[in-house]
Amino acid sequence: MRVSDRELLAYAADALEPPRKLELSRLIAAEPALAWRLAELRAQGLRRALDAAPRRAEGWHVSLPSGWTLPPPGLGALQGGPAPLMGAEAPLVRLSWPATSAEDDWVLVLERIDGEWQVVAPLEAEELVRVGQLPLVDGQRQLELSAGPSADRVGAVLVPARVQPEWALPAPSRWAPLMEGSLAEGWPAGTVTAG
Amino acid sequence: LVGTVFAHRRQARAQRARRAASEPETLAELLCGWRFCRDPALTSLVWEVLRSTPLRPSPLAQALSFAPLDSAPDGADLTEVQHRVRLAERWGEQAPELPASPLDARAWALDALGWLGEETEEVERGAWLRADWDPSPEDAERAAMWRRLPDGGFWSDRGRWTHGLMGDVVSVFRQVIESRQLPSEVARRAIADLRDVLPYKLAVGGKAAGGLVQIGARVLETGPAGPLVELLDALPEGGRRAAGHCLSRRGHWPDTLSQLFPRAAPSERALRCVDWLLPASGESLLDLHVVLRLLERWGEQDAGDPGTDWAVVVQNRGRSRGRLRALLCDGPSPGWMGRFLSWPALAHRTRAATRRWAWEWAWEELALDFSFDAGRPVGVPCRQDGEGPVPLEGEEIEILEVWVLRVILRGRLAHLRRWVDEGSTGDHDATWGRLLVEIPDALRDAGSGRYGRVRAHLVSELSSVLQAHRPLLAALAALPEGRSAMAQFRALTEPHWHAAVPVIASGLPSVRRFAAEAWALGTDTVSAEET
Repeated sequence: MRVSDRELLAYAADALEPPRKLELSRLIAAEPALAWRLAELRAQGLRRALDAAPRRAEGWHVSLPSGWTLPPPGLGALQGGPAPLMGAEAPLVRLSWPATSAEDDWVLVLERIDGEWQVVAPLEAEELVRVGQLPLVDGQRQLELSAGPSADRVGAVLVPARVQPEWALPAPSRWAPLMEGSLAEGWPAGTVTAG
Repeated sequence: LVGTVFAHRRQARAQRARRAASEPETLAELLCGWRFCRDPALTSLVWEVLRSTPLRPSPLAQALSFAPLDSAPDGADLTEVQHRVRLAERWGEQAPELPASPLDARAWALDALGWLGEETEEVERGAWLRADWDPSPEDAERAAMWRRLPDGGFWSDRGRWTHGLMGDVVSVFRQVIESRQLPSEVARRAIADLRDVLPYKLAVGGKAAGGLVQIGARVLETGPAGPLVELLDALPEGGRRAAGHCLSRRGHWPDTLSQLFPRAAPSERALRCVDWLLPASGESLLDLHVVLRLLERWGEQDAGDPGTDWAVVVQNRGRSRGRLRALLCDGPSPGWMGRFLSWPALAHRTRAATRRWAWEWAWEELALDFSFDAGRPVGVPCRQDGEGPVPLEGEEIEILEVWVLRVILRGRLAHLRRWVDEGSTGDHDATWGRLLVEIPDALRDAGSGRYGRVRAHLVSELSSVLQAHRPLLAALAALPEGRSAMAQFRALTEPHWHAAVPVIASGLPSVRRFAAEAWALGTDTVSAEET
């Protein structure tokens, strides 16, 4: 059956009325190609959201408590490398990991600029991306990222669903508990060299 | 619906369709998914339209209904229409050839109406009723906020509403923005503007209701009776009249109403349609409209693409519901919100309604370069000239009942019955003509001066009017002859008479005879005898 991108997007946005949601959920379950298209649309959306995020180069930056460390490329649970360009304006990198992590966990994306890790996403509650929203390819979850012009590395941390940023707090206080949790509990993380 | 169940249902339905093609008395069982089937007159109407429609199902359409399946049933859990579309894709041009006599074509149409009706019941109505709404600790607070809203409570709750809905609205806008691959600075500006405008959008909406009222209407649609019934139940009398007026003039609805009320004038159809726009009968009317629309299409072109047919169902239902929502939102008071305050999982229902509303809004804003006019309503408001013809009420009804009495006493009850039932008396009777022009202007249709309102009232009320007159008719039939007769006639009629109707001042022997004839007809036969 032909399903338009707009219908799939409405499904992804949970903006369909119950009859259309029922129809589409059955079709997605029955047709792997449609499920792949949905995942791809979500991934494209995530990439564009990341690309649209404000950059330090434009006079913006998130202040973080210093000392946030992430595993060097190749040593973390999330493995990285260059990703196919597919028309993107900036070089893309890809982090992937076995699809055994909880789907409700969410992805914290960071960039290293001048030796300090900066949060890129989510900057607001609605930018939060769940693991289950990412494409699943050959049993691997895949996250594609483009780095800002000043970043030398990009990285990601899979944050347990029970942990939520306190959005009302200023950035340093907001991210401090996550940094502590990441260090204390060893949440899955990984980095890749930008560009 | 896994493939084996689909195959079994398909086969059983095909057998019923073949039987019903020549035995219309079995039609109701086949078309049980359509609500109008509970009314034999409507089922009969569909049958008559079906018989007179030149059907031309494509070979593939015939095969989809009647050809044996050539492989193991699809194991996927799909809806009926999805199974049929997959089957059509698999067969393509290679569909088995089947006989295509007029009787076969009729059987095909019945089969198609059968599965489309069941799909309407299971998906279009059933999915709303089976939707999962998760309770949350926020439910009580959300109910309290909705409760305060109709009394102007938005501004005191502005922070709560904005905070509570912002995440869902922004999330939906982001999906739409990202899907169009807009430059990042455009996306950032749009989201920033959205954050600023949202509180105002929730509070106002130009001439239409504010966003929260529109969201509330979508919450109402999640109710236990299903969206259409909930909307109709909440619609005030004026809203139902406006809906009838709207339906009688838009899209293909005039065709449907002319088939449902073949002898009524257009203005009268609008009024009679209002009587169907009730919770108990609204689904029947809409189902009838959808089926007549399908039959019309099948008579115009090669019929039988399951996806296209299903789209007719979905679009007609969606449009009708959208108009009712608009009328409800444009109404004088959103007091109907009280209906959902006690429903479980109100926070979840509100979030889901908000996302559907925001989706529609986001696409509208995208088309307008995210100009964010807070006064522009989301969706199409129901713009029309007033509420259409207004039914007779109060003193107008009293005047009409006296006029009916005068008609009876002038010996024109048979004419009246024919006029009400058929729109014409079939002759050029001068007495009837004089009686007709005696109907006061106030009872006639505004502007045209026609009798749509009068006929619409008498279609449903004439029998009871005649019943109410029976004691007086009995007394008038027993009037004595001689000089005292007129005095007694006045004594009997003056308490009932109205100054807007000319009095009867002569011809008492005829009056006595016509009263006796009308009384003798009896209550049960009064309506049928003379037609």
